[in-house]
Amino acid sequence: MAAFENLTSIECHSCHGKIILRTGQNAHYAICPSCAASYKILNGQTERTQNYSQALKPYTLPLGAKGTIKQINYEVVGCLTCKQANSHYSWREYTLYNETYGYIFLSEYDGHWNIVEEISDFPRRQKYSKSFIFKEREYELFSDYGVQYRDGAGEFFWNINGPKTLVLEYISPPYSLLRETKSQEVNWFLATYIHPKEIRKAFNLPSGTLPSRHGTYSNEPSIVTDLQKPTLYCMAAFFFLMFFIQLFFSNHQEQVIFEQTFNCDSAVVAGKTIISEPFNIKSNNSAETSSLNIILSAPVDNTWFESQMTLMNEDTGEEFYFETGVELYYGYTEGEHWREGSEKNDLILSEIPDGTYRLAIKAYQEPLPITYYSNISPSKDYKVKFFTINIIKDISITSNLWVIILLSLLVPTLIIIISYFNHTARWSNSNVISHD
Amino acid sequence: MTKNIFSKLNWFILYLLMLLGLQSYADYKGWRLLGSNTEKWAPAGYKQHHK
Repeated sequence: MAAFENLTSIECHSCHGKIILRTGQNAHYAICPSCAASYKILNGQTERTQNYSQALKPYTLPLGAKGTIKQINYEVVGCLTCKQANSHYSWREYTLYNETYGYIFLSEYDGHWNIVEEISDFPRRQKYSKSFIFKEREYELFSDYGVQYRDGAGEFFWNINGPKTLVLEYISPPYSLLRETKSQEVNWFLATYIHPKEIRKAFNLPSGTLPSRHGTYSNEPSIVTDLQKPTLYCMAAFFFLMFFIQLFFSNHQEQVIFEQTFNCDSAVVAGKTIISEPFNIKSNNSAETSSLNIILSAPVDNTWFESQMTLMNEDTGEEFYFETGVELYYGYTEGEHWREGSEKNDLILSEIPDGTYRLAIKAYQEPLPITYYSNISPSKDYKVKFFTINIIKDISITSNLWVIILLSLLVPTLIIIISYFNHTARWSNSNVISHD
Repeated sequence: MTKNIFSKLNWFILYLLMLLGLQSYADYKGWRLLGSNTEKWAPAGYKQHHK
């Protein structure tokens, strides 16, 4: 009894090489690393089973390699190349052993790595559930396949020669749940995606020894994984705060600071400058600048009225030049009444310093009435007789709100775009959805 | 886990708060964040005077 409890190696019947058993009596099956002959080990006796192929290329983690995963020291005791039945997909599985903590597995596919652990609190679900919630995460069925072993080396605690294992893989990046069925036995495994650099660090491998990653792996997290919902919550909080600030803290107290009506004499048509009465701009706070809403109104009737204005600071000589105009046309054409424009127009000036101001206005209007509209009466006087300018201080600049909203939407938009491309790349490898 | 996810979004929360701050400050100063309807002109001595 004691003899096989301390069994540390067996001799290969085929090549007479030594097969080291690192897990002692836990090794029930072994594959010769030299010739790939397979053995069943029972009570210290070896029984030849089947031959596997020789590995086409060396295993990334060789037998006996030691590494620290989740702060536990493990040793690689078995390597297997697995193949998806009826498919060209193949990957490698490394069996790792620690005397106290037992077994865990590492899987390697196209440079992508997963830590795979058997779980006992498995999700009790029907076999073909498309998705389910497990530990507050939603898992979706990603693939359904049978597993065959192509080549291997080392020792194993399960029957590697048994019937094909059927696997249902459910994903919730960076995790996967694997439901493995062999004969009538069902086991659940939790796979956690691990970055290759973590593997390199864990096994103290020099850089460049691990194969580079290709494509997007089923449970590979992207930089936006799990960020969609929290981003949505952040945006909701942002809009609420924005609304709250606008409603309660915005210190706008709109105030009319200037109103004057100007008669349009011949000088106006000639574009001569009119100077307004002086008026004061005094901000309500210590900012010493204000926003102004300049409102121009003129009784235009199938004509236009334009003005060039300069807001002149009498204290400093600083000037702000702007243009605004109104136009209103209406008529009856091809059986339909139409109307375009308005008698009123406004524009916003921002960051106007406090001071005493005057407006210098050059006004222009259409010299002759337009006669090609059906409703123009040749006898009517279409000239604008007067125009009015109102100035309102401390108005809310709506465009600012839109700018801020647009800037706030940049990140969520980027997250949506990255998620979309990531989702497409990930699910293109699934064999349970249609790729039409 | 939720705490962990929100910690990943720290920078985004900071960015949103910065936007709120910018909006409030622009509002306070009467700034227009994008574009302008005016052409500003100041006499030569003005800048010196207002330094």
